[in-house]
Amino acid sequence: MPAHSAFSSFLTALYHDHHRWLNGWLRQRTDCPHNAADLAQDTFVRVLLQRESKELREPRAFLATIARGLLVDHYRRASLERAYLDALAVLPEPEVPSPESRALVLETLIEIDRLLDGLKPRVREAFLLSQLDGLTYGQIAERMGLSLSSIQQYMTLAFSHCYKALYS
Amino acid sequence: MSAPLNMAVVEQAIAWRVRLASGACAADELSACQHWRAQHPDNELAWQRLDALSGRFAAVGPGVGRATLDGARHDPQRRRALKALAILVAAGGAGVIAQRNDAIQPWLADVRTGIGERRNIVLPDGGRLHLNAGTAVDIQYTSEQRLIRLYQGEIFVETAADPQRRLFWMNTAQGRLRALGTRFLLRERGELCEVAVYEGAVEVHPDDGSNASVINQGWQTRFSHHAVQTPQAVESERSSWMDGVLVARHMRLADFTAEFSRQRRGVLRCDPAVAELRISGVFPLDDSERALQAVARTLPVQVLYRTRWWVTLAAV
Repeated sequence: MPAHSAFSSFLTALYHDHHRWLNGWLRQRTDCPHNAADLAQDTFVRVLLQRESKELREPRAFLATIARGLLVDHYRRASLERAYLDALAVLPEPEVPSPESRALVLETLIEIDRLLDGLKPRVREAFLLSQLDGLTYGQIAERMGLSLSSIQQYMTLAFSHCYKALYS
Repeated sequence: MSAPLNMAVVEQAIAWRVRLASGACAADELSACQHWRAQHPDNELAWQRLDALSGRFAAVGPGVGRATLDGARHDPQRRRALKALAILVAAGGAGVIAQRNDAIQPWLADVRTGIGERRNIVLPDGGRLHLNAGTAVDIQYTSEQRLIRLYQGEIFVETAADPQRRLFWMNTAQGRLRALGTRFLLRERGELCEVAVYEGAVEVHPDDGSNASVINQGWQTRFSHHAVQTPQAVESERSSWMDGVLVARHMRLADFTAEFSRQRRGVLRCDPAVAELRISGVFPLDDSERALQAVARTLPVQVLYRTRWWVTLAAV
């Protein structure tokens, strides 16, 4: 398959020319060299999955863009794992969920955290009070010292933001 | 992975949800909403997707879920890492922002200064922005607001009266600041941001939504993402870098070294044994060699060159 071989020589060249550079780039931005090596590997896996050998004018900028996304995910995941363990630690024994359900909840929390990225703190707070804590809009307005119409506006913003993050 | 929906339909679905959840709707609105959903499969699909979105939150629930999300967001490691990455994103970010605001053409610029480089910029409204070495900002003027994001380093802002009366905002990693007709200095210091007001006033809004504080002319303070410290009188020499000099008054040698390491290439460090020594004087920023020699003459300190670009101040 000529298309396949073109792609694999593209990938080989990309790896050969820039792997070491990418490793170094990531090492400056992570807490440990193992993470950097893993993330560099993951970056090339992403390229592999895209299966598209494009003319790259800036191959390093291209790799850095992918690697940056992976880094953000890496720090997001690590921070949520730590915070989740902290939160579980203060639960009374019978309320601690099973390992399987813990893994599921953690994945959902990571996704929610990603959806909320970029929301203003107040909008995020109002949305969490409604969606997570189950408060009515009236209760949220009172709690935050805002009008009902502000809360409605915040909810509209937050729904729209999360929808776009999920589907576009 | 999923069929694209017209955003207008999604917005209608959101409007219905918000109206029904407000608890202020008449009984017939529920059936009007059901009618809307039945009108077109896209309407129903949009509704279902919002259901699925809410379902994710329901699956997590309050308590632990809330503690985890808030805890993770304030995780210092994550904040540091994301801040460092934001600078990189910003370098290629102007195009992205421009696409988002396609209705109006905003005035955008990413400005960076390197080691030893200081710059002055005239803002679109005639105001001025001074950047110290090692500084990264984005400038974004739209029809609604004037916004400067400080990612790293130190700036001095002189705002100008705006005929369009747009608000003037600054964003930092710790929060937002609103300029109230001012000249002021802003410096990013990791967990904290420093603000010194020379004229007018600045309103500081920490990131977590806690109460805003107004810092008046002649005062300076530091703030984190959740608190503003008690203001102190401005040290006027703080802005001396704009004149190309460092004015030190009983300055810790460690702080002195940190100032100069922004102004010269390579490694410049200060041995902990001499970090607390104090130095006073006026030092040219562009001639760090001279400044270092002056330190060696006045304090019991020697300048050790491992190479030309690896310099340590150590006890004699």
